[in-house]
Amino acid sequence: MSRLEDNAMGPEELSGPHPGGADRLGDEPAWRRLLRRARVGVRDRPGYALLGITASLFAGLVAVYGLSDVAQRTLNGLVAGSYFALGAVGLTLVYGILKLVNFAHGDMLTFGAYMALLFSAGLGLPSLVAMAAGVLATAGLGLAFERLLWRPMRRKRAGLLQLLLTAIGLALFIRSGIQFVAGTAQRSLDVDVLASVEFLGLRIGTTELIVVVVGVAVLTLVAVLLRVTSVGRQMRALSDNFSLAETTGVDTSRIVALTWVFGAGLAGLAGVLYAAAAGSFNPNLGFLLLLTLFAAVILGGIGNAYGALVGGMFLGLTQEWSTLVIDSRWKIAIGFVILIMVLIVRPNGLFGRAAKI
Amino acid sequence: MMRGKATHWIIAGALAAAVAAGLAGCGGSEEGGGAGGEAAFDLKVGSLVPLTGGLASFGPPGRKAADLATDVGQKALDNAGLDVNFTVEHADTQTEPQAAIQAARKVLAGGATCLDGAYTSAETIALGNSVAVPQRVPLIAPSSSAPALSALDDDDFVWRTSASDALGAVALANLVEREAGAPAETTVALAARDDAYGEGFIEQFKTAWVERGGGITGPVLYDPSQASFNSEAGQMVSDDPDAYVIIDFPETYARFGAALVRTGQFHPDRMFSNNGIAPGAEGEKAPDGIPAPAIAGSRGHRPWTPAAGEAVEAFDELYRSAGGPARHTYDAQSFDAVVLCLLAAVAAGSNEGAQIKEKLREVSAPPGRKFSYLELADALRALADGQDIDYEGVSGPVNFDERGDPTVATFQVWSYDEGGTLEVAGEIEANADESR
Repeated sequence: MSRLEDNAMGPEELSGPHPGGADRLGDEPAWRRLLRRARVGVRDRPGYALLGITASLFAGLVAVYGLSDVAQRTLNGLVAGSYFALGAVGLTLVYGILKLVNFAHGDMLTFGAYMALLFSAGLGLPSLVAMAAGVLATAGLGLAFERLLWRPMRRKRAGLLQLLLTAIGLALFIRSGIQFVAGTAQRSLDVDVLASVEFLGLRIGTTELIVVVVGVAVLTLVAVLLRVTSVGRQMRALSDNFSLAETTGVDTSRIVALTWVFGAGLAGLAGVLYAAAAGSFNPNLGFLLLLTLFAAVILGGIGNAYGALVGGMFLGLTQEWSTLVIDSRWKIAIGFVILIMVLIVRPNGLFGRAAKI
Repeated sequence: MMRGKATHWIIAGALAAAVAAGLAGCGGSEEGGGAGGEAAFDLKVGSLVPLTGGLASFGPPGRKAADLATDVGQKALDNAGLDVNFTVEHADTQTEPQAAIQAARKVLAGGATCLDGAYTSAETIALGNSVAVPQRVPLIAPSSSAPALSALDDDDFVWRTSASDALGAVALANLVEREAGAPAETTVALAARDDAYGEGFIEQFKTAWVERGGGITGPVLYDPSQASFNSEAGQMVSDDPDAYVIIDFPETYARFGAALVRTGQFHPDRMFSNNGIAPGAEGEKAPDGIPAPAIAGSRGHRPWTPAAGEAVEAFDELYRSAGGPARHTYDAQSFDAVVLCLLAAVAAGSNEGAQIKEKLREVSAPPGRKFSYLELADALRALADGQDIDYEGVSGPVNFDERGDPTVATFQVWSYDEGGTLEVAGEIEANADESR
């Protein structure tokens, strides 16, 4: 099974007794059996385990702070979580298939937002068209860098460190380019960020609601495409073993190019939606978000598309919930505390697998 | 092993020698002027201005004000018949603490013995610790407002003509009390960006308001780089407070303010703030990105020079007729800093930093006859006769307290109208005695 296809609920539990277990189980105390089951559960079915942890966190908070407060924070968490998830999925896709830690990903988000700005404020296109054009432009940027930079570097067998440093340089290049052309002043897309909808006493910004819906829909679509389409299967093949996929007739050059189009396009989409919902942005938009995006990717398991979705949402929820318990200034730090705790239990992230030998 | 250790010792020795040489070089320049106690000496003020970097817009007006003060000072010296040659040397601090230290070393090497600068609190604190105190040269900051500066262990070498945020917070408390109601019946929700500026100011306000018996909620401190502000906004408007005090910059408030409006329970006309979100001139729109419904009807204050008064009007006229950069916040504070250097030096009869700083409090604060810069020649004559004076600055009465801060400061009151246009409506004063 490929890394990108890993079932969110984890592989089926092994049938039959665990090695050396069966005959000792009889005299095991009940609490220890429970503990062992819980450990196995966390290991083998991280999806259910996470669901359980999230639900008990929610229940505990409701018991202390009341339903309406917690429900509102949950909604806020889903909003923040969809920013993270949308931003993270492109990052994890590129890593999973190309094994490239793309430090320029955050600045590709920024690029998308500024292209949407260029098309709407600069060229006078309607907002939705401008946003779509921004996404396409970012996908084009991804493709251009693949052809001009990454492919030649791969051909010259550049090592991981060289690729990583190139990505950091590229990040600075993109950001400085945006600053050079558009300046460092605050900008905003022509989107209503003030309107909100109310239901059951809960409030969510209209634009934010659109972001959540689009975010979940797009991420689900990406997951399904990876699973059912031929291109998706080839991507997963590359993710598993690049050279083996190449020898079995996969057109790697085409698949890699498509990966960049998808990864960069998703970055552009994340940037456009985040810029639209936040209301105001500057050339640091994506760079400031990048660390949290990495956290979401690592939390979900590097290279795992579902992991990015779940990791992003889980980070968003815990960050917003944390504001009930402690000072909101610590909420970004809380995300990283969660990350460290998860990595202690599952060093490869929630849905990641141990490295193959 | 032995060889490694020996190398370490050699490096340490070389470093020590280099440091000693550097100190000797800087120390030597201090003795360049005339001897203390004589009536005739040369006084050079070092003006440390941010000509580049984040505060680059403050640099040219500050430099121009220092030049004007030097001209006015030299004329007054000639009038009073004092044999003092008064000059100024400028250096760019680049709005960076490390560059500011280099700039200060440069002007000290040029013979300066009293410093006008720097502008950010970070620069001023660095200069205080690394230059003013060890080199024994007084430093008068025209725009640094961090409360931390008051507590600096500076042996009276660090001063400022700008109001501390502690004073700003008292002025804001005065404004909230005047506009929103008596503290006992007014609960204020507090929020600020989580950095030295935001947290510093909001904590000072909290202290001031609680001391008056007022109720508060928060402060809600938020990281300017976080992705969404909905939970913080919800916290802020819950319990329907009578007023809000939000200390922020436009780039963050554009997003926090939008989140406040989305809660559906935010009343922007109950909001108070300071200069952070009102950087523009009268009649300008709110900074780009801040939606009008997030700011319409909000009020606040910002540092300013008093609008009325003979010296103030004369300075305005002098500044405008001189050409060059337009007026800017803290230009008058830079002017006053240079004038105070001169007055203290003449009072001490010396250009030595350690003697100038002994006289700064005396010439700036009561008792003594009051003089504005318009009567500078008379003031200098009085000082030469050994009398005590009280300089009334263009930026305010100055009156340095024992921490080297001005005791009284005037703030301009601003408000945003329904369409988000900045209006200026009068001024409000704060006295440091109220804050203790």
